Amino acid sequence: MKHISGFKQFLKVALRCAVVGAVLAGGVAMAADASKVDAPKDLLLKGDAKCTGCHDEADDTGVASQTMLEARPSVLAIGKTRHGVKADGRNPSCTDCHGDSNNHKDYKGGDKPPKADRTFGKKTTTPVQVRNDSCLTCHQGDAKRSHWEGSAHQTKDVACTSCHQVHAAHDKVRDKKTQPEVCYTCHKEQRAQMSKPSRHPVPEGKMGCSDCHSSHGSVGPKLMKRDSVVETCYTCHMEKRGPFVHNHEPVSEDCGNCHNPHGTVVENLLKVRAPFLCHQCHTPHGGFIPQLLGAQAVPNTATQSGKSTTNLTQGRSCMNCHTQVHGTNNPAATNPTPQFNFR
Amino acid sequence: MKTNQQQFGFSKTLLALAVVAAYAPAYADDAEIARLTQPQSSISVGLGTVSGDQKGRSLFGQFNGLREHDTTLQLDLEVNKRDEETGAWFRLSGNNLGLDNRDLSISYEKQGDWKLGADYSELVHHELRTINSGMLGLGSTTPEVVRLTAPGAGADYNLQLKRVGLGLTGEKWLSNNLQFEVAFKNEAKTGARTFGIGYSCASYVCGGGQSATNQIWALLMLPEPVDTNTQQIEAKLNYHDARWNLSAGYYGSFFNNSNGNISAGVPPQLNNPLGALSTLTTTGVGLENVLQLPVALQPDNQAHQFYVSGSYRFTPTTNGNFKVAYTHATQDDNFLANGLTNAPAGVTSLNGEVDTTLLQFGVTARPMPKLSLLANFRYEDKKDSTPKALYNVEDTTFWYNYLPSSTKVVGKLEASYQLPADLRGTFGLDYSSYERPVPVSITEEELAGLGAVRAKNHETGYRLELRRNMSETLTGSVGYSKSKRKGGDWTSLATSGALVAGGLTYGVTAPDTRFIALNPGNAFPMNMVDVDRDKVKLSANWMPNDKLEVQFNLEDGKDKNATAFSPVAEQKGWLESSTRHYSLDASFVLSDKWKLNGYLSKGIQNQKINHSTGYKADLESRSDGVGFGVVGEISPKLEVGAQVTYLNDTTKYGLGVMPSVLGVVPTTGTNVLQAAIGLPDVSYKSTTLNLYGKYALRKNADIRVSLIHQRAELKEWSWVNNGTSFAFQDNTTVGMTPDQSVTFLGVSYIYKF
Repeated sequence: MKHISGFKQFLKVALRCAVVGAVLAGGVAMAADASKVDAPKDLLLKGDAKCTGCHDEADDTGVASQTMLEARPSVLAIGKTRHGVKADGRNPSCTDCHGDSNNHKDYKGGDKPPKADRTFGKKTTTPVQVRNDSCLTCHQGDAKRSHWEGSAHQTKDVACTSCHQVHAAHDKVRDKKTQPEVCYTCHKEQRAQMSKPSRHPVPEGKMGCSDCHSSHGSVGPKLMKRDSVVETCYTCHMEKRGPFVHNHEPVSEDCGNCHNPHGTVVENLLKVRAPFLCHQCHTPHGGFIPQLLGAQAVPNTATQSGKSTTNLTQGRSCMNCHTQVHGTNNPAATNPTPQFNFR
Repeated sequence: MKTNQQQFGFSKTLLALAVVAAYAPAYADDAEIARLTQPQSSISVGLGTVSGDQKGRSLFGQFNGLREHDTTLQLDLEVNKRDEETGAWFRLSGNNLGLDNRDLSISYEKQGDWKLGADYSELVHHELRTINSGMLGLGSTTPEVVRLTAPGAGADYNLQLKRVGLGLTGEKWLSNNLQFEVAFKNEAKTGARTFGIGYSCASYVCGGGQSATNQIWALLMLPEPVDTNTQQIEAKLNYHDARWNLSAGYYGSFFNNSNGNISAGVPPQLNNPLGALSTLTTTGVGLENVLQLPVALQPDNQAHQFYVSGSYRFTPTTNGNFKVAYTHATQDDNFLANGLTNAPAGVTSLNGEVDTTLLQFGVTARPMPKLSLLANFRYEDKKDSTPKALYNVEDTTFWYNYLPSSTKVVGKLEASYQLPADLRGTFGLDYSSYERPVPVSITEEELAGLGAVRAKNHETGYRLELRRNMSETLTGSVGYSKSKRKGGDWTSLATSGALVAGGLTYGVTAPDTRFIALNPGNAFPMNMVDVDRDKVKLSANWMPNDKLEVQFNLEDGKDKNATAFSPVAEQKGWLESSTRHYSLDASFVLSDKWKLNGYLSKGIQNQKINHSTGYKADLESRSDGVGFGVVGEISPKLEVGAQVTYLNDTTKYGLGVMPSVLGVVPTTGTNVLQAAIGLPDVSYKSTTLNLYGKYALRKNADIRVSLIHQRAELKEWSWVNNGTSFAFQDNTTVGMTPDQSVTFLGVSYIYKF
């Protein structure tokens, strides 16, 4: 048996008392002119009485596909959102999104009524295109959605309501503190990567996925917010843009050549620990086996070369000398010149 | 959801109460409706305390504002006010206002008409590790290196970078179809981060040789002083009607660095490799002088982009979209003003200019209800027209600066068809190409440590996907993609050795097989090599009822270097990468008051990378994650939640000895012994327990208690191996507390209005 909270119990009792009281108080008059019974009034938006006549303040169990906890306090919470602004004449009413749903509304049977014409929960049978058309009817004109058609999310049948909670006062995906948990619903590998120590401040809620990705479509790869990976990274790391006197070509090609922006265990979100990272392209300084102080077959000597053994493995590894891997603007044209990005 | 069949049940008690109610105003429902439909505001104020010290909570506190102080003010606010008559919103939002990662935003708008907003944010990134050094002015542009008598004898420094952002936004609907938007953001970044210099004197610089008392090389940890400012402004005009969605705008971005260079003061004596005091060589230019040369910091730069983008609806089922953009980026920071001398004669700044042209067109169509088609084309040309000058000298040889222009083309065709049984099949073709300049003359910049480079890469591939759309209890998809990246011939960068002897001197272009035949040890850069890629994706979602949902995901992919190599000498450089990731997620609604969720995930990544003449490496990272959460209501007034997450990420560094170019595998010698010792695993483990409870004191006031406990362990060898620190030549060391256990307790009072 469903447990009813004290407040809810009080509310129900109060409502029932009000109804019964009203009947008793006005019973004679009402009996005399039953035809003048007021039709249900709109609670929020024009014409919503058709739905809010039943889905009212006592209907707190929410949309079928959502858990009851998530749907609380009620579908009426849409009134707290931008969709609930009466003064905005562009706002839709219930039936604009859910359809006329007359079969649902007028059902007289004793069992569960048929569903509304268009439903948006996880177990809905309404096709994704139809569901999204409900939103795009208004939002198609938004500049941010010009590249929705053909985007990775659109072609994979992601519905607007797969991410957005239209009826909730707090739409998780529009808040960077809670947005990642929505994205992790599908992007599991990124969830694991964001738990690693070298990462962006996403778990702390200081960045959201949408700081880099435009989930409604973009011109860039991977739904990048700007036109390319590097352009997106430059929005916060503009010092890497250059151009420099001495450039490092993979830097201007794609930051993802060396970095995994979602997180790694290597400092600076590097995909692989140096020197292995650098040796994917470069093979300088002769034969060499990575080794550590205190774990050497032949310990360092006083005449040890600077370009070998532990110096290439520990500390900042290759970057111990090649500090300016993103490029340097040092113009010095006297020996030693910094063409290898060391100063 | 309740149905409209809900019936009121009237008891005798209820009827009696109803009589009373009949004579009292029945406004309970109106008040409740208002509570449910009106925007709500709240303010939360409290105190938090965190255990341990700064070093002991570096993993926990690198971004969350809880690293520096043991006790903190917990202050958040959320004000949402709406004028129902005009539709005007006023919003004020503040998060972590008592911490060093605070943010505050304010906006005022008339929905559908205009909007003004401002936001302020702070974010401090505290580096995980602590530097122990005797350096004076550490973190400044003029640090003085002071050698410690022993590692660990100096002062501790916890570096941090602070970002302070200020944003302004505005938008105005000029008509029902025309909107103007403008956004400005300024971000100042200050602090210091791990950095350093190192130099091993070339013979033409210092000469001489390394000995116990004559040091020809040195590595120094010099934290980089950061004092920069970035500004971004974007203004655009948006138009839409039944067919068009158009935006035309300007995006400007500007970087300014207050620091031009870092110039260290270096003593004449530093450590030799054994930690003993040794004199820096004074032969030639002298090592001390070289180490005291200025190190350039990032120059000011700016970019201006003009663009038009949008979409057009040809028919209700056929759409097109496009973007045309032109960006002019410059970098003309004055060398001398930044303390950078010895530029080529007559050159005062780089005068860098990069012009980027972007064209993108896409079409989507549904010619039949069951068939969807997609075509997309993208062209990006980046032309670097920076003037060339002889910036590079190596002994008596000069080179010009290298200009990384590029042209990138990406194309995609895709068809998706609705099959019987709710199945959708998708087939896609992908193409991309990347062109870059390659040197054809010895006077062009030498590219360090590379054997050859390639002027063009192109990649073609296909994708197949079968997806069952959400409708029944079990849904899912399976996808497979395969592609091959190839390219043109390779351009030699060799100035000596077998390649030159065989005719492949600097600037000569030839197939990869010819390079390998002449030099089996030749390595090709990983971003230019031929690659074979395969990837499989599988996902399944099971919802047997409204209460239980189970999700399974699998991704398995492999990229393999397909460039020519010598089977005798084996392949050099990057060989292959593979990744496999599984996850199982479940959520269960126990009742209308309790909900559970949990996940298991496992990731395995492999990388094989060979040095040209030294080692063979087989790196394997395994990442296991577990999470479990519960939220619920113990009573109508008490809401509680708990979440525990666990991560174990371990990387194994398999090392072997590289055979000679003749295929001879060494069985004795230092390298064999060293490979047997190998490298220890690097591991990161963390367990985090997050508990909260929220008790309703009144209808408009709650008290919330939060408890976080984290145990984290990071074992790695870059800075410390088994208790032995890697020390720079002044005995500066870098380290951290590898095992950290932190508990945070916070109590807040929440007032809602």
